[in-house]
Amino acid sequence: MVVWSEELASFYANDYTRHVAVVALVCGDVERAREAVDEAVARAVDQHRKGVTIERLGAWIRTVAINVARSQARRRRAENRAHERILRVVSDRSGEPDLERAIDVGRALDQLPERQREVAVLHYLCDLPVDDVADALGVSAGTVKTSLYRARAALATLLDPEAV
Amino acid sequence: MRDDEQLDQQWRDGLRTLATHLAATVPPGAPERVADIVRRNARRRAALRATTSIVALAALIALVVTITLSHNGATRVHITPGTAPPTTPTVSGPQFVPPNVATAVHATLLIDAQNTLHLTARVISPALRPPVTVDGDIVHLNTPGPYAFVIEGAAGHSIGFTDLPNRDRIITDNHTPQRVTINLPRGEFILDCNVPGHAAAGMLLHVIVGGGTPNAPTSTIAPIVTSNTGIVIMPQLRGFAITSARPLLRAAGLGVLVAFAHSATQPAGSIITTEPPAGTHIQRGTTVTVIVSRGH
Repeated sequence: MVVWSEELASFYANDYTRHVAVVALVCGDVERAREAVDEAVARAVDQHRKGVTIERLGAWIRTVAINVARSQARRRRAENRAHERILRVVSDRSGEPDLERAIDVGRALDQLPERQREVAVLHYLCDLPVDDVADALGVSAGTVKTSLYRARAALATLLDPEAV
Repeated sequence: MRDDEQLDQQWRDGLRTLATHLAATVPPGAPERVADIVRRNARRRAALRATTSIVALAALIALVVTITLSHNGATRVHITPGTAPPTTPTVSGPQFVPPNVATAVHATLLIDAQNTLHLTARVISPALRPPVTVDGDIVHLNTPGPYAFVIEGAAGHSIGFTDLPNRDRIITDNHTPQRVTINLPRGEFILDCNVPGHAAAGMLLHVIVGGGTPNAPTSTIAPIVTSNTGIVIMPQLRGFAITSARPLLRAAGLGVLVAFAHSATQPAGSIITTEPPAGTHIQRGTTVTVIVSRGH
């Protein structure tokens, strides 16, 4: 039977869907994001069994899941423009005013390569400072800053094509 | 161009909105899915362990077979003429001064007028508990190999070793004088007396087989591992005298740079460590650094 710590149970009950959404924004597919988060939780269970205490379980699972999603994407030869599907899911729920602006951001996200998407999601959505994003993804702070610069540029171009 | 802060805020708001809406579409977490993955991962780890064991077992069987074969089958040493065979065969006493400390055995290969190869060997220093003993034509390798054989042949001949347990270790060398390093796993080897007819009668070869060391009496010899792919595995040389190691390294096609350091554990002249360290795969022709003790 799976050793199920209280912390893990609480994560599952309260934070699961939100983490899946975060990973889905990175990898572009809700089902794959679910698989990645489940895999990350399973690894957390393994660690727990080995007696390893994971600090900040949510952040740990998020980082592991993003990495799992990335290797899955590589295995499956990265379905291009998977974000289109996410936008479709989201636009099915249209009618809410904030969603119109959010869809621009979704399009901007869609234009970014994988690594820059990860940076944008961790920084803007998960509120990680530049150095923490660099740590989580194993890249330099300079790479993170460059990615953020590109993210801003992509959004600016979408919002105001003539300004560029 | 929009303000960076404004764009940052828009990214934040937009991603939050997207995430919130997305999260609402995500089916709730199913712990049994995780339980399945945990079990699957455990099975994969077990399978990996099993595969590793099988590979190890196969390697062990291969080693045993190799040793058995080498007990039964003779290892042939073929001597074939090179570009400039000598007109008069070299018939003389030992020409090769063995490395002093590390050499446990000094063996001589002699091809007589009937093209028969004679191996004679003597233990230079029995007190060193040599890993190699020679009984007539049979070389006993008493500790796990691989072993370095430094063979100096007559000028203008190439030396080819065939039918060694491991085919990729066939080495030929047309340089003068010929020095080749071959490797044999642990076991007994008969250096076969069947020499092709065109070998020069009376040709003398000298064989230096590994060696022990007074500093580390239980250690094995300093093996120089080479293959015809040009890869050399850096041997463990700690405790060996630099005077013994240098010829072995040179014979393996390595350049040797010596640096000195003080050491409390190694007496002066003994090797403390090497760069790259033992076990590193390096290309033949690389210059390695050997750190030698100056004493305290």
